[in-house]
Amino acid sequence: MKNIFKYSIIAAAAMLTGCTDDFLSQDVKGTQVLDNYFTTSEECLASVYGCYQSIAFDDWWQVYNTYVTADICTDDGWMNNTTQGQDGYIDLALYQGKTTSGTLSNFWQYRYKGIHNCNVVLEYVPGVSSLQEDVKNRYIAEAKALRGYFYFELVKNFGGVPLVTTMATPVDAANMKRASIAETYAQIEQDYKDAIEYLPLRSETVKNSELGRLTKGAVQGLLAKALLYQEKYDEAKTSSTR
Amino acid sequence: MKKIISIMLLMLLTVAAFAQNVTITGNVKSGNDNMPLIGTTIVEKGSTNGTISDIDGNYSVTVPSNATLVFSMVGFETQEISVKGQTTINVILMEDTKNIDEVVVIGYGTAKRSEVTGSISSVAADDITSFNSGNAMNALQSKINGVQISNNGTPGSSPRVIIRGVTTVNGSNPLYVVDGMPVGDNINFLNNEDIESMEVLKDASASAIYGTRASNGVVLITTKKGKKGQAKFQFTANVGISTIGDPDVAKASEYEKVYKTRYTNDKQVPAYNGIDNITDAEGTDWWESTVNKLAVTQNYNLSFSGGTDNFVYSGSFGYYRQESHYNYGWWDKFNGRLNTEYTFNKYVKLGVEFAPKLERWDDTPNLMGAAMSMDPTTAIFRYDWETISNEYSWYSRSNNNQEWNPVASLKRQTAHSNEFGLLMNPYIEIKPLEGLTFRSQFGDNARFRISDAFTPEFFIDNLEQATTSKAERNSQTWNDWNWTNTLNYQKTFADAHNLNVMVGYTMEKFSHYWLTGSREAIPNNNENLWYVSAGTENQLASGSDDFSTLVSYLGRLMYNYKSRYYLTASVRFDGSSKFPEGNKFATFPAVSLAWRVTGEEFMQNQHIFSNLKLRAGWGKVGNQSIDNSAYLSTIGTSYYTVNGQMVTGSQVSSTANTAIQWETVEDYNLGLDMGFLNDRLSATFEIYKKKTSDMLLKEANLLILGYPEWAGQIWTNVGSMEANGWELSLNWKDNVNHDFKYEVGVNISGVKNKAKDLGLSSPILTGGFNGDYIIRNESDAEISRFYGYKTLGLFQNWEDVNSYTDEHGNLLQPNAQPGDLIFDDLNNDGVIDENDKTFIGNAFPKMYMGINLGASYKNWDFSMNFYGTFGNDIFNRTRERYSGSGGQNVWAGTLEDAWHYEGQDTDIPRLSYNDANANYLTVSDWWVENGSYLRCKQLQIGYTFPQRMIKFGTLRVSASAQNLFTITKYSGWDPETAVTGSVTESGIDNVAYPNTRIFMFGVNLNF
Repeated sequence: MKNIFKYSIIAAAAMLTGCTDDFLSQDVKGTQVLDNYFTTSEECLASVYGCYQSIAFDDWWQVYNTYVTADICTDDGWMNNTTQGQDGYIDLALYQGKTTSGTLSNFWQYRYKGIHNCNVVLEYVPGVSSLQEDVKNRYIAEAKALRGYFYFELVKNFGGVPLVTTMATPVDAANMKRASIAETYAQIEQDYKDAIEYLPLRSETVKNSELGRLTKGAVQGLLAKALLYQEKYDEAKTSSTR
Repeated sequence: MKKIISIMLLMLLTVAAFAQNVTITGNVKSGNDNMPLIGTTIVEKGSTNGTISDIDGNYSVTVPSNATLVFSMVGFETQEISVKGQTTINVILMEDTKNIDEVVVIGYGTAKRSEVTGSISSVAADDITSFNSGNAMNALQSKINGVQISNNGTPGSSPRVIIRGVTTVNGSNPLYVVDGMPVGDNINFLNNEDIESMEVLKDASASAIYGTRASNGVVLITTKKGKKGQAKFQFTANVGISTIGDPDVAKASEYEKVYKTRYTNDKQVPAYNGIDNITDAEGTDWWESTVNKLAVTQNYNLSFSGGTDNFVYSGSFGYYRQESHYNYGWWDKFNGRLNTEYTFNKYVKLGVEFAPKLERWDDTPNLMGAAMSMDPTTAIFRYDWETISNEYSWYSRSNNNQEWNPVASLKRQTAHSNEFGLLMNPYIEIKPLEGLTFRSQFGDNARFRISDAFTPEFFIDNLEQATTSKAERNSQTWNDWNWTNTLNYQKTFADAHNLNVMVGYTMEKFSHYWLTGSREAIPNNNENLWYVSAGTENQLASGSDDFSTLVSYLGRLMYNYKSRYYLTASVRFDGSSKFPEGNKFATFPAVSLAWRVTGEEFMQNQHIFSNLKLRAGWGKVGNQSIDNSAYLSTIGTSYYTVNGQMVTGSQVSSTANTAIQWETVEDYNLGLDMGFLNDRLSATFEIYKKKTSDMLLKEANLLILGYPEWAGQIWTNVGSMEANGWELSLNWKDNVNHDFKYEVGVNISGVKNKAKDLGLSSPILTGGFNGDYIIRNESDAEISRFYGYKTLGLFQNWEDVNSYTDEHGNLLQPNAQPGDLIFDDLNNDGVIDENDKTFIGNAFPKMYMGINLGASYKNWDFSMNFYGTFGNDIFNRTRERYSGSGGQNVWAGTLEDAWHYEGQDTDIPRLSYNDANANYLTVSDWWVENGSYLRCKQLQIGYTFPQRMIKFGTLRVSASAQNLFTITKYSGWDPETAVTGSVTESGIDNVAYPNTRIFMFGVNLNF
C-alpha cells in the first residue's frame, strides 16, 4: 500500500516537471505555417503566383469585379435586366454610390489584400539563401510590379491612399496617414521602375513556357499608363520606348 | 339502499367493538432547538384519520387504542409511535439532515449544501425526467434561476444556454462535465434517465476550479450509481404526438388580387403569369403539402441497479426518437450505460463507467418559410410530369415568384449522419489514512461520425436546377481523454474546525481526425448510387487532424468553524496548447465566504428564520475557445494560369497574433439564503457582477493591412464585456395533511449585458437586411440591439405627404404616397438618412421568470411549469409577408388590411410593386414587436396505482402537454425560437422551426 502511494507521488512529481512542455506544444496539422515557409525555390514561386491571383480577388464567377466596379460608373458600363439582385452595383450605376457601399469597400479591401501578398513576398524572398540571385530578383520584381498595379487601381478610384509597403502590424497601421496623390504615384513609379530592371523580355517567357507572368514590356506599358494618368506625357513616351 | 347502509353501520360498529377509541393529546417539539413545532401532521397509520399540531405544538387526536401514529413534518425525520393504551404522547422530531444537508457536487469533490459558499443550483433526477426531451437542458428551463435556455423545435437541436448573462462573443454555452469528465458544450448524447443530478455552477467562486473553460459557467452532471440491495428494475415508456399550427397565409384568389393590386397601385400593368380569376379551390395549399400536421416522439428506457457490500452496479438501455413535421428529418439515439464499483477492502475502491451510444439523424430541412411564400396558384407537379423520367424534375416552377418549389426541395433532401460513441470512465480510489482520499480517473470520450449527403441532378427551370448530381461523405473521429488525479483530506479538529483540502493535477487532450470527399456526376439517381464512389467527375477530398491539450494544477481549501463561518478558496493553474510560448499558463483564483447566521447562539431563540445564510464570493475564470492556430500565420493555396496551365500558388491565409493570451472573466457574487417556518418557505436572493477583460475577439483591422481574413480579422485580446444581474427564488413546500402535498416555486432574474469595448470591431453589425443590418453591437452599450429608423405611422393623404417638409419646403420623403410609412427625421436636419437611425429594440429580456407548481393528492400527482421572458423585443421578419414583394404569398387578409383608404385603422403600408418609399426595405421600428411571453412549458398529471392493485412493484401512468399555451402579444409564431441565434445576433424572427405543442403519455414501472 505504502509503495503504491510512494510511486504515485514519484510519478506525479515526474509529470509536474517533465513532459508538460512537450505536451502543451501541439503542432498545427495539414497546413503550412509562415514560420517555416519560404525555404525552397518552389515555395517562393508559389507565393509569387499568389500575388498574381490577387488580381482576380473578389470576382463574381467569370466577371472581373475590379473592372466592373470602375466601369459601371462610366458610359462603358450599363446596368439593367438581371434576375440576380442588383445590390451593390445599381447605386454606382446611378451615380449614387455611398461611403457604406459594400462593393466599394470590397474593391478597397481586396486591393490591399493583394498588396499584402506582395509585401509578404518582398519581406521573405530576399532572405531565402537557396535561391539563385537572378531568380530571386525576378520574383521580387514581379511582386513589386503587382504591388504598383494594385496601388494604381486604388489611386485611380480613390486618389491618394495610405502606402503600406511592409507586413505591417495593427499598431503600425493606426499611425499611418493617407498619402497624397503625388506620393502614391511616386510609389507606383518606383515599384514599376524597380521591376523593369529585372524582368525578362516576353520572348524569354515564351521560350520558357512562362507566358502569363509579367515581362519587362508589360510593366513598361503599365508605367507609361501611370505616367499618362499624371499627364507626364514626355516621360511616358521615353519610358515606353526605352 | 337502506339495507346497505344498515349493513355498513353494523360493520363499523363491529370494527369499533374490536378496538376502543382513545383520545390522545400531546406536544411536538423540534429536537434541534427544543421549540414547539407548528403544523406537524399526525395521522393514524393506514387511514386518513389525523390532525395537525397547533401553534404551541399541541395536538389532540382520537384513534383506536391499538393504532400507530405517524408524525411527519417537512424537514424532519418521520416518526411512528404505537399508542398501546397511552393517552399522552409527547414527541421530539429530529431534523432530517439528509434533506436539508443534501450532498452537492462541486467539481472535483462533493460538499454538503450548507457548506456551499458559491452560487450552485441543483436539479434532481425527477425534475429532469419529468420533462421528456432529447436534451436534459430543455428540462431545466424554468427550473434554474439565472439560466436562459432557448431552443427551437428541430429534432436533435440543442438549446442555447446562457448562464448569468453574456460575457463573451465567443459562444455562450457552458462547459458540461459528466462524472468528472469534461465533455464539451453539448449533452445531446446523454440519456436523461441516466442522470442522478445536475448542478449548475453559476458564479466564478464555484466554477473557477474549472478555470480555462468556465467563463460561461459549468454544468456538472452525475449519473446514477448502484446501491447496495436487491436488484431493482425500472421501465419507462413515453410516446408523444407533436402538433403544429397552420400559418394563415392567403389562398390562391386573394394571392392573385394582392399580386395584381401591387402593380395597379403603382399604375403599372400586372406582370402576372397563369390563369386569371383563380378560385381558392384551384390553388395549392403549400403548407399542407410540405408540413405534416402531426409528428411522433418516443422514448423507452430500461434500467436496473443493485449491489452487495463490495460491489454495486447500475445500468440502463434507452431509446429516444424524435420525428420532424416533414416527411424527411428525424433524430434518434440508442444509449447504454453500465456503472460499476468494486470495493476491495477499506483502502481501495475501483470503478468503471461505460456508456456506449449510437445517434442517427436525417437533417431536418428548413422549408417553412418557403411553404409560406410559395405562389399558391402554382400546381405542385408539372402538367407533363409523366413524360419525364427523372422524378426530381416532375415539379413545377413557381408561376409568379422566385421561391423554389418546397415539395420538390423536400423530395431532394438526403443528408444522413450516424455517430457512434463510447464514454468510458475508469477510476481508482485509495484511502490510505482516515480522512485522506486519493483518486485517479482516466476518462475517454470517443465519437465516430459519418455524414452522407446526396444532391440529385434535376431540372425544373433554368433558375431552379442542378446540372450535375453530387455525393459527399464526411467522416470525423473525436477522441478526448482526461486524466484527473486528486488528493483530498478531511478532518474536524476540536469539534469546531472542519477542514477539507483538495489538490489535483489534470491532463487533457482533444483530438479530431477528419476526412471529407465528394464527387459529381453520378450516372443516375438510383439510391444505391448515392455514394462518392459512384461519382465520375470533379473528385475532391480533404482531411487533417486537430489537436489541443491542457495541463492543470488545482487546489481548494474549504474550512468552517462550528458550521457557522465558512471559507472556500480555490486556485487553478492552467496551461493550454492554444497559446504561444510564454502565454500558455494562467492562474484562476477564487475566494468565497459564508456566514450561517442561524448557527449562532443568539439565533436559537427566534422563530422567524429556520435558515439564514449570507454568502459572498469572488473569482476569475477563463475562456480559450479560439482556433488552435491563432498564434500562427497559416499558408493557403491559390491558383493562377501560366502558359495556359493552372499553377498552384500560395498565400497567407490567416494572420498570427503572437501575443494572444487568455480571456478572463472576473466575477463578484453576493447571496442570501433564507428559510422560514421550518424551511417550508425558502428564499434565495443573489446579485452579481461579471466583467471580462482581454476578451478574445476576431477583431476587424484596418483594411489597409490587407490581412487575408474578412475585414482583416485576427484573434486579439481586445474587448471587454460586463454583465450585471440579480436572482430571486422563492419556494413554498407544504404537506397539508397525509394525502395532500403541494409546492410552489418562483424564479425571477434580470441581467444587463453590456459590451464595454469591442475594439476596432465596433460596431459589430449583424442580421443582414436588404444591404443594411438590423443589429448594431457597439462599445459601451448593450448587445444585440436593433438599430434603424423610427416611424410615425402612415401618410393618410397627399396633404400629409406634401406637408412633410424641411424648413425650406423640400419634401422629406419625395418618393412617398399616401399609405406609405412616415420615417422620423430624428435629428431635424431636413434629410432622412443614416443619421436619423437610433436604437429601436433590445433582444435581451429585462427579466426572466420560471414558475413551477407541483401537488399530489393520494395517488394523483400534478405539475405545471411556466417559463417566460419580459421586456425583450423581436424583429419580426414575418411582417414582410404583408408586402407580397417578389411575388411571395401574403398573410390571409392582407388585401383588406393593407392601407387602401384615408383614415383606415391599420399600420400595414399600401401594397406596392416598386415600394419606392422602401417601406419593406428599411430597418425601422415598424418591424419591432414586444417579444415578452409566458409559456406553459408543461402540464403533467400522473396516477400511481395503489399497492393492492399492483403486487410486484409500482406503476405510474402520466399524461402531459408541452408548450400547452403561450401568453404573449407577439404576433409572430414562436417568441422563443426568435431569440435563439448567436449572442450578438439575437432576437430576429426568421421563421425557424417552432417549439411545437406535444402531448405525451407515459408509463413508469418499478419492480
